[in-house]
Amino acid sequence: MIPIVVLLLAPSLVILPLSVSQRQVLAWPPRGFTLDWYFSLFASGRWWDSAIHSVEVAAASTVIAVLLGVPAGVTLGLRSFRFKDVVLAIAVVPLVIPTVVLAIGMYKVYVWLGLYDLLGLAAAHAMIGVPLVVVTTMSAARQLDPVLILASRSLGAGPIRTFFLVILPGVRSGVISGAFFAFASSWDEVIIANFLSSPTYRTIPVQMWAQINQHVDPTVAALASVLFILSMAMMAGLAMASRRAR
Amino acid sequence: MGSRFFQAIGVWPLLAALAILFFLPAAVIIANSVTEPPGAGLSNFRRVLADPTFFRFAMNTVKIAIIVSIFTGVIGYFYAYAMYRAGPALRAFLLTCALLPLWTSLLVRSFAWSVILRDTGIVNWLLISAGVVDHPIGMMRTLFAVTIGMIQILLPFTILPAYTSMRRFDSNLIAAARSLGASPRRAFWQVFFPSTQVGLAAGLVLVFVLSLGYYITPVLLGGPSDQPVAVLITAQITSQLDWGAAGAMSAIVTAAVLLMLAVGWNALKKIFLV
Repeated sequence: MIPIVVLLLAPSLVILPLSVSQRQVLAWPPRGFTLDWYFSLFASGRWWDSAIHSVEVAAASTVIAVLLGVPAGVTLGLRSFRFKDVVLAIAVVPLVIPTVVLAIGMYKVYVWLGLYDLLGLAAAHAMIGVPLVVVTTMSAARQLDPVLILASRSLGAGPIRTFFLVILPGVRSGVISGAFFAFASSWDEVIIANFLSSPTYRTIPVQMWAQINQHVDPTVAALASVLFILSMAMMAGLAMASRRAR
Repeated sequence: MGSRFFQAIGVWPLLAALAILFFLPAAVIIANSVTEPPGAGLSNFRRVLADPTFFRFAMNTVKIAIIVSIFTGVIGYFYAYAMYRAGPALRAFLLTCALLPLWTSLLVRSFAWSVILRDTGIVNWLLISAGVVDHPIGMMRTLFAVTIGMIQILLPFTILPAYTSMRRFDSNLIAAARSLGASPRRAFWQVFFPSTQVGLAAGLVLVFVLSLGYYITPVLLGGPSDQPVAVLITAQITSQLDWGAAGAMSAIVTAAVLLMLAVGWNALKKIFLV
């Protein structure tokens, strides 16, 4: 078991000590202690700009994914209708289509539709994130007690009131997980972002990808450490939010 | 009629958005295979299928996908079984270790592997310090680097489905098999494994399908001879401007992905969509 745990954690654990090493190159073992790489990272306007772009894109795409995915997930979880399996397959297929194929297709179609930078990335990432929202909402909706919905309807609430007052609170934990997953998947996406963003609208992964391919210095390790800590915070945030939602 | 239409109204906005923003781009790129250049017909497919470069990249893709699937399948099932047998505290720790990589950026993890495996990385330092080797072993830019990186990145996708199917397993069945005289090994292979193999199958399909499209990890960790089709497709666009060839290659990869999904759909549905 220990070798597998080491394998799972190795990438995360090796990068942190190197980000505070005084060496000018990323070589093991780390030597001394310095926060200079973090200072130079945080002093760089370029990284701050791309952080803002990443947050904008991830937030916008998460909102779109939730608006589209929650009604669909609820419908798939609670109703039965013809071609339901087909609809379900269509809704999850964006997760597995090779990103490169999607990226060059979007590059062609989105630019023609006038969608690039924030708009384009938000739309594209929403398509990748929405299956996650559909699946989590659907499994939460399956666990709803159908009697609650019948009770609400028989007490005179219309379908819309029932949706907002009974169903939505009931699937809240699924929606929250889906939203976190959608945010994280946009936050991390490189390939589509590379094709749909102009050089003035780089997200963090695009900027990092460019940096890795040009010149790797310990600043990249500092950035990787910051991203690692943020992703741990996201994971912990989801654990707390879903505990509260229950 | 009207009420039947409204029955599924919640899925219509999603389907409309997917049609324009997801299916249209995918369809346009695949259609390019027969429309670029105008009147191309099947010539792009003939050209691509006869091209030794495409063949080499396609073989790399399949080879990597098979190696990664075998290792993530065996290790993931074993890990899930350990989680299933562990006490609550250890189980929570193991689950966290399995989820952590899933949350960590793919780019960060691929970059981290390049730092681990390089000549001045921790692995070579350990080997040299232990006196196993005198000089660093070149692990970067090899098939080994690509597969170990992808195994670590994709491992959660076999651990979690296998664990899901184990949690649903009725443990009384093992007790019944044992009381009827089956050895622990026989009870495992004839009762436990057959009822949990659906989780293993779902994980394997997922890993295989996802590895067919991998791009970032092979570019960062692999050498020129370890690159997959995804890299070749990008090169058609960014350096050759050959939309026809890119379309034909995209169509082939997408068809392979959809075929695998169709094969594994039942297992995937049982694990993820219940």
